[in-house]
Amino acid sequence: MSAASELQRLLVAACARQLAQQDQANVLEWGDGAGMAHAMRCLGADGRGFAFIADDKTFQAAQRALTDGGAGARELFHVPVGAASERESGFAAHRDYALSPAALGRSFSLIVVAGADRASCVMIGWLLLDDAGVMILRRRADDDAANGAIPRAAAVSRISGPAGADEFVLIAKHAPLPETIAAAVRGSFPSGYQIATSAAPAVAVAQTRPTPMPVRAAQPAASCVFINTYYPAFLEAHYKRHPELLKASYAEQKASLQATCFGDSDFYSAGLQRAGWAADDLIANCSPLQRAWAREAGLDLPDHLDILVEQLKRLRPQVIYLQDLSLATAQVLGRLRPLADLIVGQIASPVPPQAHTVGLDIVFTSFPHFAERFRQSGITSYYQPLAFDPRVLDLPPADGGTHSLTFVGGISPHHPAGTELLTALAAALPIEIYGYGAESLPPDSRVRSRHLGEVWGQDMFGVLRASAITVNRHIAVAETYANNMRLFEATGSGALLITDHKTNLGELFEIGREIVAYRTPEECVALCQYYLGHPDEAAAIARAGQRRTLRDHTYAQRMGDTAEILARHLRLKREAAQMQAIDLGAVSTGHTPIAPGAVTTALTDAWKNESLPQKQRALVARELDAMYKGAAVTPFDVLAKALRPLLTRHPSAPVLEIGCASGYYREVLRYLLGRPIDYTGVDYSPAMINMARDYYPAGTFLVADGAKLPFPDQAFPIVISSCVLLHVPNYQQHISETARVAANVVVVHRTPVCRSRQTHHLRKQGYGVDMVELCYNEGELIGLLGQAGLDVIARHEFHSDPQRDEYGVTYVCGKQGKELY
Amino acid sequence: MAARRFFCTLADRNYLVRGLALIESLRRHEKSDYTLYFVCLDELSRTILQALRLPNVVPIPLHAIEAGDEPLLTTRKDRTAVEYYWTLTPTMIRWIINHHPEIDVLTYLDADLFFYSSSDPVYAELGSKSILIHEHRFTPQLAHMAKESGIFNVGLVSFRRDVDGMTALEWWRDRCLEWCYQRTENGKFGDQMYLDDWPARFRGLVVLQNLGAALAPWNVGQYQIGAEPGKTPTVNGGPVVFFHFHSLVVPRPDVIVVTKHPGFPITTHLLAGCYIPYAETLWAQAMTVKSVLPTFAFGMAESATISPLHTLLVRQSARSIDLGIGPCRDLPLPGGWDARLMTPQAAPQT
Repeated sequence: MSAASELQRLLVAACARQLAQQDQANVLEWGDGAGMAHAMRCLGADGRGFAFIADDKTFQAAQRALTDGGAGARELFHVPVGAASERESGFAAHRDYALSPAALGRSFSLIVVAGADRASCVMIGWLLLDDAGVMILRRRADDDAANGAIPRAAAVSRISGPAGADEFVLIAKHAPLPETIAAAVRGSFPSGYQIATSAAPAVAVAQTRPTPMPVRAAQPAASCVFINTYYPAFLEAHYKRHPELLKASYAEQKASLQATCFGDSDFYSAGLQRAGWAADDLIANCSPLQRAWAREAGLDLPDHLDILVEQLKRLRPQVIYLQDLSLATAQVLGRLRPLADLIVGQIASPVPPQAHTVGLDIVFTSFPHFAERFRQSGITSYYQPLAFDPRVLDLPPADGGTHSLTFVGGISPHHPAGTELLTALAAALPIEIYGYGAESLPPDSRVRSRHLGEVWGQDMFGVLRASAITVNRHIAVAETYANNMRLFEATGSGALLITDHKTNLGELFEIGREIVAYRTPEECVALCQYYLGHPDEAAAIARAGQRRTLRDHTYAQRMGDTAEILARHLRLKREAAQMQAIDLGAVSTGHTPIAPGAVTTALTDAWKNESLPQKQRALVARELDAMYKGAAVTPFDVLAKALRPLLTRHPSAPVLEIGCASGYYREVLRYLLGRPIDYTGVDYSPAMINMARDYYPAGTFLVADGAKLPFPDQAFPIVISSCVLLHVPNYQQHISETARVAANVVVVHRTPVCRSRQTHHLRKQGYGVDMVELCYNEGELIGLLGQAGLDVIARHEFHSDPQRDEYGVTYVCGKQGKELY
Repeated sequence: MAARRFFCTLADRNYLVRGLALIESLRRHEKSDYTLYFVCLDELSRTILQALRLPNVVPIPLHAIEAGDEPLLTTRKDRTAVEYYWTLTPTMIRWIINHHPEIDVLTYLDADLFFYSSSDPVYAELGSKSILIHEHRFTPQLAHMAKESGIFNVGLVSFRRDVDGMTALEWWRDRCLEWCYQRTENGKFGDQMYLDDWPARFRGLVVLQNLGAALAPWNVGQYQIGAEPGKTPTVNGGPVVFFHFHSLVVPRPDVIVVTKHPGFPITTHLLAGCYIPYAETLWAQAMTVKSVLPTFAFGMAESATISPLHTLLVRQSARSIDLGIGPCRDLPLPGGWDARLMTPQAAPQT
């Protein structure tokens, strides 16, 4: 037995041991059947196994081996590759082989991918994998397609061997299952095999502070310094409580400050480090700390800004991230500009009047409406919600006992609505109120009588972690949007969050199941009364809320997104001149009518031309640049408009784009819709997919023909047919296949149609390459969509020339008989 | 087997008890399989409704309907709560139809409707048509109200999932998104007066004819109400299907102002046949809600101007309370209630 086969057996057995706790474990293998058979022997009578084998002799051998014994029900399927295999490769040849398991109508706890067309099988396997299941991909060293097929959302552990040997990739829906399995058997690996080390430094326990960014030498590829400011009152209290710090070193002072978990502490930098970046924090307004740094650096610099500039000169990060925009004056930005490639800022409160926001490369904001306003001013701005750092849960619990109902937050005469709420709560309920600003209340205020003082950092988390219920409210500047940190601090800490209803709240949490929302103070009081009287229900919602926050709202996740964004903008900046220099020539010209019979394979394969990706990307780069400067880019805006209602209602819905080219809609939709999209892109051009993987390494991209998609029926709630139909004479197959893999909605994006003429074929030059283009009679197109089970429910016309009978339309179609998404 | 019937209604906490009374009336009288989608306009209502786990009732939170519907959310900025709820009516009907492919016909019900017998006559009149609406049927004395409130009342409207039904529904939604306010303006009033030209505008429309359906304070004065203990109340000899308890006010759980408009004629037969069963159900439902949330008092402490012209229903246990309205006579009624009659409004039926 080869070392690789030996390792496969070892991993299958380890997975089976993990799965043995499940009542019924279904095992699937694409391969020679050995993996499934071994898993069944390990699982015993509780399992059920299915193996799909392409090769006839292998199938016969597996059948003979099946009689050798073993427990559980085992089935072998011989699915030969299609007759087309000699002409076609990849999924086209293996469609039945790859898709057959989906027809079993079951999901699987263990999937082994070790046969033909492993890329397609990984994609399909992911859709068939149980939530707590594991997939083992045995990847040939040169099989980049299989790597590209591993979903971005997957938790992955890799076991690599000697050069040229098969790699094993353990894939699961949730961490740390792959790591656990790999670690369990690492002592038994065959010679030369080892767990591949992750690029990201591990920062996992509360007391373990992240490794600061090294200074200058050994500079990693991507680096960022976060510049924070702390509330002066907190700093004063902290140094008063720990006077010895005044004489301590810079490192000791900084560690002490960050250990309090005040504000966002080192949450951002630790999250970015997990994403593989080097990252560090500076606390710009902490005089003792900064003076200690200057002293240790041998500098006599009394001015905070001078010290900060010196720190940055030594660190030389690629990105400077300002957490406090009051620092972002024109003067400060002028001094920081030469020190980094990008200067970005973050804002979650009113924009300080002195902030020179146009001098920033990017502004991140947890206010959706702020992002929109920045964009209208020509500033690149991303909506990004705040988050929670799970290391807080490793802190020792507070001593103050439990609290049935709390509010932790500031009181200010500038927020009368907040005071009105607290007054109503204090009048009706035994609420404990913590935070600053109580002195601004009238002496006879009911809120005063329930106020227990200020709590910061660890103390605040202590209160929240000991609270059964905690109430939240937003300040007026939030308008109709939920954004504050307490959303995540409270849920992450395990309290039931009762918060004010906002239009985007349902995108962050499931209201009623993970959090509770009120629309008026009187409703808030009544909901508190209800949940105080129903503690079991309150606890169940609190648990669900905590699970949601730990799953979707951690700094590690946010910073994973940030890392992608920053890398993208660094590359955009780096490539800007190069992209501008590319001569696009005529993008689309020389349209000449041709008969359908005159469409040659060369014309239909035109988009596989290897010269196309770079030219198209150069055009895309210009459009992206315009988008980031706040300009309208019609195709981008139209698709975002079509998808916005769907992805607002179902933020995590998987989206498939057919004809994804270099994958740029992954970036466009992230930007315009304000959230990372669970996106999969396919294109029939290997060159395009290679480029997509290069630009979006965290994305899921696959070479596939839109007429033969490597996915089970209804695999994606939302499918985009992206400017594809106009290039495919076999459009009926395309429409039918698109409808097949869509569960709810199909968006037919950027389709040229006419109304008074018949559907007609044209020959044209696209980026200098001869290709075919179709213009559809709109009635016929809608009829074809209807025949495929798709009803047009919305249309977005982005081009109209009635005189020439030429229109450009994006259609949103609902699948007949299905819930409209 | 008859097809499952699908109803929907909406209410906030102030109308929750009335909505529960509607649910209870359907439970008693609806013989077919049915589902009632209850759009909860606040989370308190949804929480309580969910806790009650009522059969055939599916709570839908308002935020589910609002999510991603920018045109709807935009209207919230300049409309009062009541105007926004009216704006919402066609949108929620459309949302429910879109999200439940199994629905063929969806019938919207105002939360202050109350059934006394099966909805069979309504569905029989709809037949295979696409839209069903009903007139106010104002008494001659109140006919002038049509100019302010419209010919038709939106208390019950049915739409079929077909081209005609969906065309009308989309048109109605678009109009309500454009304009839906609590005032009469250019032939419009709320979501309601848009229906005035529907018989001419839309195909497949039926105007409900059954006298027992759509009884309301504005039309009941022209009919003979039959009230016999333990039997379905009648209108001109036929069974009452549903009554629309518009303008009823509940200043205390044990006191009901029958209608805040003293101009609406009320008879003792009507009190005994229709109002008392409703009052009994409201009381029972209020107690049910209090079993879940003892402090619940929403919709049961409404401000009310009580004058000698009004008719009150008072629980006998509350006979001693002073309502500040001076001398009046009590008419004992079944179910532990008295009618406190001060005026000629509640006259014996002639």
